[in-house]
Amino acid sequence: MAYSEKVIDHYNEPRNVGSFAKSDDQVGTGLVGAPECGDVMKLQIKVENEKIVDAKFKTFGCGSAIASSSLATEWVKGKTLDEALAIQNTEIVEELSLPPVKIHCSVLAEDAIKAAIQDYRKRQETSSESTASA
Amino acid sequence: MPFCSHCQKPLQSTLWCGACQQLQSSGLQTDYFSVFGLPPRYDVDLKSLERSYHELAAELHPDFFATATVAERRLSEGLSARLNQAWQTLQNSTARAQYLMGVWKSKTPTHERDLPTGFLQEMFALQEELEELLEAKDQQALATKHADFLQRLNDLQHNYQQQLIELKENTPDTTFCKQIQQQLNAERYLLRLLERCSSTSSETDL
Repeated sequence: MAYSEKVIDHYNEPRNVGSFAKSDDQVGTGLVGAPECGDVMKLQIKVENEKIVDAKFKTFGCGSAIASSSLATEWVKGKTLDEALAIQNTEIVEELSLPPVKIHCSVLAEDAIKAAIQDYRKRQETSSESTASA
Repeated sequence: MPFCSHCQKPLQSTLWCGACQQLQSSGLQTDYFSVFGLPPRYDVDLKSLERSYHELAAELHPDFFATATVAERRLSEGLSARLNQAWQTLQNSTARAQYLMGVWKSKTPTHERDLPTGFLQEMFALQEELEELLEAKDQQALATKHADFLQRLNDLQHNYQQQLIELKENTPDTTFCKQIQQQLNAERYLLRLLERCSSTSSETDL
């Protein structure tokens, strides 16, 4: 199977690999998996005033999963949470020219963004609750 | 029980009538179990399944329809393909379990991506551990991990196979389906870990 140059580029030089401290209140962590192939993907966002200022990822999976998550971290940076929630997997498919059998990799990346934002929002709620009750 | 569209006698296989030797076009849609005249159950006698497969393959083979009408020849090709898919699926213990989940799906909601609580976190942590071992080329530790994962995979497979064999109902309840689906999902992640242990480098496949 032929892979697009963009996939190979992200695979060879993945952007934003790494992790933030999970306990940081500014950080949201999304951990998702694809039962189709056993890939696991962790995507983290760092948020300031509802805006994503930084993002990191770590993916154990195929080149397309790595490229999808690498691209996702690039795209969410600088976006508001609502803007990031609007990112669709089809945009990732288009950008990376993913073949049909690799579409689930882009779905995984979209799910990871959503999971990270959900985690961040949940943490904000609980931390404001604990401040209120203190 | 399905009946022959020509002679109306009961069918053993939904692909072909043994009584009047006619191909059954409805067989293109029926489930893989009824292709072999079996109820949708996990415990399958593989020896008799293989026998049925060879017998049916011989009856349906497009070579025997070389002088038949175009429609019949096409049908024999379609039914032969269906037979092969059914055989490939049912003779494999994991694929058979997955197929059953699909059969039940119409009656009971499935949990396609469900995993046991904390499982994904554990898989991620194990992948990180493996990455370090692969980078350090610690063959001994990798071999130990490989043996651990293999044991875990065998236990998991044995467990869900046992549950499926002991199942009494034709259509199990949601809780049962959820349990099986979780294990089938977990199986893929374990297979992935195993693959990674035995790969000689930390390079992943594109």
